[in-house]
Amino acid sequence: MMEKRNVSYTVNGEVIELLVEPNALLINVLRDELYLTGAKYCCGTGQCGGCTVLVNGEPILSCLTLAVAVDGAQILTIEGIAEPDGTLDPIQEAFLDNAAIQCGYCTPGMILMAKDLLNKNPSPSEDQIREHIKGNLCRCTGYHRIVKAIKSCRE
Amino acid sequence: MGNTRILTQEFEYLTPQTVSEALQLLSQYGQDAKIIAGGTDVVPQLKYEKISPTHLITVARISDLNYIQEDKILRIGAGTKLRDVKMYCGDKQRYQSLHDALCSIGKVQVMNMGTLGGNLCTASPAADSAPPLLVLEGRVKLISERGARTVSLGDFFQGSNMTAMQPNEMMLEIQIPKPKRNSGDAFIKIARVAADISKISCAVAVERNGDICTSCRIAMGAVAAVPIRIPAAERQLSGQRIDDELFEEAAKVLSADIKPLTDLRSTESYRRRVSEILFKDTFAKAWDRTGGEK
Repeated sequence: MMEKRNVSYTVNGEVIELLVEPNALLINVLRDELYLTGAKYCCGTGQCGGCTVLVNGEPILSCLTLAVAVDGAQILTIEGIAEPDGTLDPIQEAFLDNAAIQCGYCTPGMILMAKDLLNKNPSPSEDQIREHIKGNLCRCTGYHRIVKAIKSCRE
Repeated sequence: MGNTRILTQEFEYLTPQTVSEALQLLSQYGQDAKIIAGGTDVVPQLKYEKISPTHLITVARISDLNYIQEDKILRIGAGTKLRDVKMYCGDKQRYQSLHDALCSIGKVQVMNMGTLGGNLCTASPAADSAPPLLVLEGRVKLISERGARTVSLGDFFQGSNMTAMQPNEMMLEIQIPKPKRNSGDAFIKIARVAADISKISCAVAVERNGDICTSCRIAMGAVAAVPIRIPAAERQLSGQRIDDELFEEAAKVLSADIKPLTDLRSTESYRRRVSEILFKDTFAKAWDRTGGEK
């Protein structure tokens, strides 16, 4: 029998303490224990980027991350990027305005990648945008509108 | 068949804070333990049940494994993130083949998670960092409670997913000698889509004096059980004046010398045919980087 571990995270600004099994994946803890279902399980092997969340400000794949491994981390999921009063982040608005969403499965990962890119480089070129979302697959939009949405958020 | 949604295997998770604590755990659990760093290789291996350790030992909290130092040789701590290695090589404009390889991994998330030591310890025949480190004459320092040893990367790779590392050993650092002034190096891979595992990859490092290639090192990935140097083609070019005929000849020798497999990413005959052109492109890129004209 595996011994459960105490971990604490700051998830979307809120300090949370949990008991997790050593083999629990971060994505399942977020989705099944914290009910943050924005991060999506897709390929499960690190090909698609659908499970992307920001850990200590950097995008990682939550389906390849053990929940115990990020003990003490600051975690930002798609649920945490709008204002507390519900006002959407400008990137979320841009995705709506540009119809950069079809089925929506890749969208949380795409928006978090855009957030990460724009945090580090407020005026990226189209090439830099495409480079940054290279690890996030979208099977609906052909990427064009996603890139357009991110471009519209440049300073 | 594994389950990629959850981990079904049970294990203890150990979090050493120092190298000596990690070595003590390794000598205690040895064969049954597995070291995990970023998890981008180890977690899929667990999901597919390719490994079944009783203990996972994370090296992610060992700050002594995370450094880049350069004097006569470049020393990279085994736990250094791929992102940081890429940034270093990019800033310095040196070790450009390694920089090319790390850029080709592409995914920001994987670069933030994966480590250089991890990429080598997984010992995939297609590991992107391996061909550059082979042509840059990289070595790896391994350590156990009994002491440290340094092995060339060529000796480190023993087979697909097999290394010279003993169960009680871990990788401490990667060492790369400083390239000579008149040298250039490059890496190119062929993959299905932008951020994919390579079908075939090539790294070349050359030293030149005018039109003469004074020294040439060539390595390829995904053409054998381990990433390999191609000495037969290297001999064709080293010490020679580079002209088209010799260049063609070397490419033919190279494609005859490799032993690629057919697998889900590509076929033996495709890999063999494309190896010629891939080598030529990589050589030209490395040659151009020496600063002269081809």
